[in-house]
Amino acid sequence: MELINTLEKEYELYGMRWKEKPHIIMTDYGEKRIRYWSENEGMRWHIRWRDESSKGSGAVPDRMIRTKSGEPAIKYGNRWLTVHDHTETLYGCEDVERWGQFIATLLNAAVSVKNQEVFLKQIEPPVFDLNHCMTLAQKYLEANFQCMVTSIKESKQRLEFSRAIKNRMRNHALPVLDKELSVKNGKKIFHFLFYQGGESLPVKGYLPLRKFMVEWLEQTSPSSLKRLLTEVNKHFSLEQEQGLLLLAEVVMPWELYDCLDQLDNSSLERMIDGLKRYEDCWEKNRTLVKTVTEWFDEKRRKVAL
Amino acid sequence: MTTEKDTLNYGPVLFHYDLFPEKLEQHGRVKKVITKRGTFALKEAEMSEDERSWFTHVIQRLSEIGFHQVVPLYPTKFGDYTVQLGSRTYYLMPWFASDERNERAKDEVLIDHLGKIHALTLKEQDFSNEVVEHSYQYLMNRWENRQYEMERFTEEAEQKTYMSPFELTYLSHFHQIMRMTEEAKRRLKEWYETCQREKRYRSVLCHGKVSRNHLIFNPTGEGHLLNFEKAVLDTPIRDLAVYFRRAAHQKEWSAEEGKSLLDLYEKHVPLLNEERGLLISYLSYPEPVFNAVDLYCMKRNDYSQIEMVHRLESRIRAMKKIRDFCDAIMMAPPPAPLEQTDSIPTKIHINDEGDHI
Repeated sequence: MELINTLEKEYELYGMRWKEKPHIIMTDYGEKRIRYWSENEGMRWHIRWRDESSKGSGAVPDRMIRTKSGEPAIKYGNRWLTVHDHTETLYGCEDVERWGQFIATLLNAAVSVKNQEVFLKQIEPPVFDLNHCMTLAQKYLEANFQCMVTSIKESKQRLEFSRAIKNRMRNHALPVLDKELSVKNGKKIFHFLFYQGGESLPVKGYLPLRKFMVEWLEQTSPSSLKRLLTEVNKHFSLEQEQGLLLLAEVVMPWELYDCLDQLDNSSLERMIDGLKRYEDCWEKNRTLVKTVTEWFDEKRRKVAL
Repeated sequence: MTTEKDTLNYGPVLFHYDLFPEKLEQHGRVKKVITKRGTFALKEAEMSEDERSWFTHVIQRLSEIGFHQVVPLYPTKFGDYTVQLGSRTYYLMPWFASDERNERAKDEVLIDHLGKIHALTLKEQDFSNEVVEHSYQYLMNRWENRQYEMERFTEEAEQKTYMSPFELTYLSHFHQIMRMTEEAKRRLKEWYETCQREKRYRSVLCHGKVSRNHLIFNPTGEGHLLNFEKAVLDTPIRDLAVYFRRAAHQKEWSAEEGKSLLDLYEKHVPLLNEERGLLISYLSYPEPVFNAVDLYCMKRNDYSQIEMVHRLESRIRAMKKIRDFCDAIMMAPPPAPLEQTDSIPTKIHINDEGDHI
């Protein structure tokens, strides 16, 4: 009850009671989520991207509800605490236009990182480690499984291509994004997109967006993904440096980690199942790479025409 | 009557206030939002990002300087004072029911509030020849171009064998209209010369859209101003000219009433001679009459001749009242001296087409 009392004292919220301790509370104004932060700078970053990306996109991120004195967070013991709206109803992927506009708003906010530079400078973009993959793959390579041989060969080519682009674009700022960018975080309140962000340390680069696109593809189709990119491009240009940086991240063979994770040679049956999952995972990501590169090619062709 | 569509349309806005409407009613550009938590007024507007932050700043600033007769804005649960949805901006205020008992006192309260705001924000600016020169030239050019257009309309009408009732009405007042135009230009030139000579210029926070509709009374009968969307730092004459020009269109309005309202205003801000001249200049320029001619030229098929003639006659009547009012205020006593302050204006808006009726 101590926390509830504190919240009642600090916030303009009434009729508070626990729904799912310690994260979800019921209030007279609906369900609210409580987030706990042990690190102040990370929290400040999360406050900022939520505030920035709420501007005019027609979607609403789960911004921090302000206290009676207008603060976005309160100190609670040795942690910080924030209160957010909460709902369970999924938004789905039908409204491509709204999603596209929201992602564009996120990206616009993510590339304008003038504040908190010291904090953000400490964050390094994730690096793909082919040697680590090769070590993981070593014990399976002797069997010469066709899917592995092909995928590793292709991974090397894609890695080279991706590095070449990144190298060319090295002077351009990478966006800083919420790590848990996901279709599942898109919820519906009235008929608008309510986006529930995460709490993790942010990620520099387009990897969160790549994961989002894989998820999008799983739930929709290549043509829907292309429409999504077209919608994003209307509000955040993908036809210049930032588009190339996104392409570089999509081409980077990140899925090789996940593919290798599927393998298990403890029995023949498990090995066969693992290889099937390996192939599925590889193909799924291949569709992503193909769809995204096709979209960029189509864009280029249109410009050339 | 609230429809499901209304709830869905306004849901994303009201979500920012944790409001769940039981009923929504349209009142002009304002929605009356009835909820379990009370009744609110939701205003819809079109504002750029800069305009939004200026608007919020103005409301907060008025409170800081001690002017509390402004309809307050409710912050969202995220601490913002406006909600942006697509190209639209929304803001929420308490709902004050109109109280007809106070209607008669409205003009006095409005002018009194305006005087208070102007007095609280009054600053004598460092003289900038460039700013004054630009403002003068801009307005003089615009007025001369408008005058030229009206002269052309007159010439074309005179060449017709059979003039329309509208043209006939216009022509019978043409000389008087032109006299007022010349008077307005002469006064503007005088204002410019005095500014050059005295090297002074005063600015205040102007409401920007002064109207009886932008004053409402709270349940205790206290008048509150609203709609500061067009607020701007400018000469106090900007607000006064907009107010008196509108007021002159009211049937019962007279020059005497105007004079007593201006006296009420001057208890807060005594006008300088050149400001009085500028007010006369603004009011004398027969822009409302010219606008009636524009409407006749562009939309004559949308209205009947009789409607057009009535509109023109009403504006000419108002122009005559304005002339009497100008005569009355020319004889006002000299104003009190000013205190020195130090802020510099970036521009002077000495007129705005949107302000005209």
